[in-house]
Amino acid sequence: MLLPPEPRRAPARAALLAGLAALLVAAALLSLVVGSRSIPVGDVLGALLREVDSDDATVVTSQRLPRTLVGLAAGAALGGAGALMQGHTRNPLADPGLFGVNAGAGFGVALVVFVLGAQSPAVVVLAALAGAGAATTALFVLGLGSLRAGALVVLAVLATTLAALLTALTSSFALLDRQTLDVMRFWAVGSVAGRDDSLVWLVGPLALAGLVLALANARAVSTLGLGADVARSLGTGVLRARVVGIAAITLLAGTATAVCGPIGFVGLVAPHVARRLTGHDYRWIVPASVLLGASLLLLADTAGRVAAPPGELQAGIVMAALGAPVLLAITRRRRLVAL
Amino acid sequence: MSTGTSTGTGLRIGPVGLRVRRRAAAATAAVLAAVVAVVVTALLIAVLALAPERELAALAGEGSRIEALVVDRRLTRALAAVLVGAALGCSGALSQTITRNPIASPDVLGVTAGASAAAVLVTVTPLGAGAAAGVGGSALLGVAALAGGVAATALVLVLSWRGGFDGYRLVLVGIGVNALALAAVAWLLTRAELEDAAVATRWMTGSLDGVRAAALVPLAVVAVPAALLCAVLADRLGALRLGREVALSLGTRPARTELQALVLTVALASVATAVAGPVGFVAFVAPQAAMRLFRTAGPPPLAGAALGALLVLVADTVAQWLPAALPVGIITSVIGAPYLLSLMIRSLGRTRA
Repeated sequence: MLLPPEPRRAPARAALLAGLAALLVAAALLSLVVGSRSIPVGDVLGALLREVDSDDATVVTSQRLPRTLVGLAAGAALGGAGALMQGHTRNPLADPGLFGVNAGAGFGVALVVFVLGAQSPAVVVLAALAGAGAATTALFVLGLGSLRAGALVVLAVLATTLAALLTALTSSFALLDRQTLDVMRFWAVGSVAGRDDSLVWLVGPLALAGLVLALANARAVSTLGLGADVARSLGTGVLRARVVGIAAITLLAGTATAVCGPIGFVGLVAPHVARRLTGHDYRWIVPASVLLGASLLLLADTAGRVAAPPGELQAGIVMAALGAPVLLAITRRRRLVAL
Repeated sequence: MSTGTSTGTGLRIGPVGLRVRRRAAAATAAVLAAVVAVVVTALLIAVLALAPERELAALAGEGSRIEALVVDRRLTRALAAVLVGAALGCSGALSQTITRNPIASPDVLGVTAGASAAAVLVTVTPLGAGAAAGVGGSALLGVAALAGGVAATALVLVLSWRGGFDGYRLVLVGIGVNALALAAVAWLLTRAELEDAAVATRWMTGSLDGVRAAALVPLAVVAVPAALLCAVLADRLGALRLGREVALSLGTRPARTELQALVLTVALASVATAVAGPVGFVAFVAPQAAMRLFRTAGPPPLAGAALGALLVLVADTVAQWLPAALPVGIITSVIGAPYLLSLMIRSLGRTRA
């Protein structure tokens, strides 16, 4: 077991963030280079910067670039959402996938398509946001206020049960109605490939707003970690902080799920790695987790492209294979501590 | 241990001691009557309704070929529902008893998901796909599911061992193993490119669609001796509920009882999964509901089995009536998950107070 890291001073942490940003750039380049057809880095850069006209350039600009951008955005969003969820619930297992927020978004979409028959991108995204918001709110209402020993596990089981229930309802809608099935088929396994481009202009600003809210919320999360009373005496508006947190998680997890389907474990692994690297201050954990989440999902997607030739593994499946052992390692700690 | 002491009427047959209590007896009779009633309803009222006298004739072997086929299918399906439900209910009661934790049912601990993953692995390999039909195929599937269930259980036990078992850590590790196994199922299904969506839904959510009589053989082979063994174990499990030290001082060997109950749990849950896939929440709901209905001190294995049978049977019958037939696992999850949530919210309320 590693000892908890020493508190670091700001310059060291800033350097760390710069390092993580460099890692993200490397991961993005790797995602552009590697695939069923390997394209040299020089050609990739040429295609991006100088508008070269060749087969490889077309592959890069029309296939790999959108896929990389989607992976980057979704990974960043899920990493941020996971960090906030762990901070607010103080539960080390909190993750938008495991704790039902992604399932809530999926259920929202299924419900709207099933009941209203609507399929326009705007409605789908709004439904995903509403579902994610409802699930997050339910989680906060149920889970906060009782964080004693055991309640940690109770919250984990509550949340996974909620996720199972929402998934069951979603699949029942999909099986009862062909149109819903058509929309929901994409969602069965989370993936960043072949996503609908028309969503970008809608989803991008929403995710960005979520990121801004998440970063703004980070300081309040840190003081809330000392207990609601201490936080209040430090000038944090507890209710406001919670509401901002719910809004940020909803925007981040909802948009990521609306575009990619349910991808679990990014929001679990990224904050834990970030915490190991930066210490326990959420002002650093949240940005580090955002960067790490994006790198993680890009690497998972890239690995999935080459792991099982001739086919591909969806990023969601690679993430589960990477993330489940991390989850098991967390549960094996000698004492399960609230964060 | 002596039976027939101060309360109730005692009865003893070999190693089985039975204390007849009025409430439990009445509840058992009611549940079994309900099971029979639902089986009859399921046979009579279905998409293709047969007149009762034709149904009887077909059961007696005097109907036309189509009637015989229809009745045969329905009877197999109803029987499958009863056996799967009973196996899951019983296995849930056993695991809840040995962990002393109502949450720790085989589906939360990842046993059913592990069994499901192994069964899918066999199904998508050419060897397994070739032997899919017939008793041989179902036996292969059963053995694979059993191996998967054992592997998942072993993984959970090894990973949660910390100089002793903590009920909470067991559940958390179970959640992790469950997630891993479900991801494996999803991956195997995407690789297999199965044309048949029904096969995929069976292994994702649990379904009794197109179940064959041959598939029930391994289940019956495990379930019937398991039920007898539960009756033998009942006393010792009762002692175990009071804690390991008390169980020891009552003259039982707790470690041995736990091991026997664990073997039964894994075997029952795995074989049931081989037939119907991971039917959600039955193993959690049935024993907990039985405990309240029968007013027993802990989750009762045999009463849990009876209630589990009723639950799966009703869920499957309801599922067939819906405009598009839903897999039974969705119905049981929709019933079971809110029940689990409500129980837990109530317990949260208690700890807060």
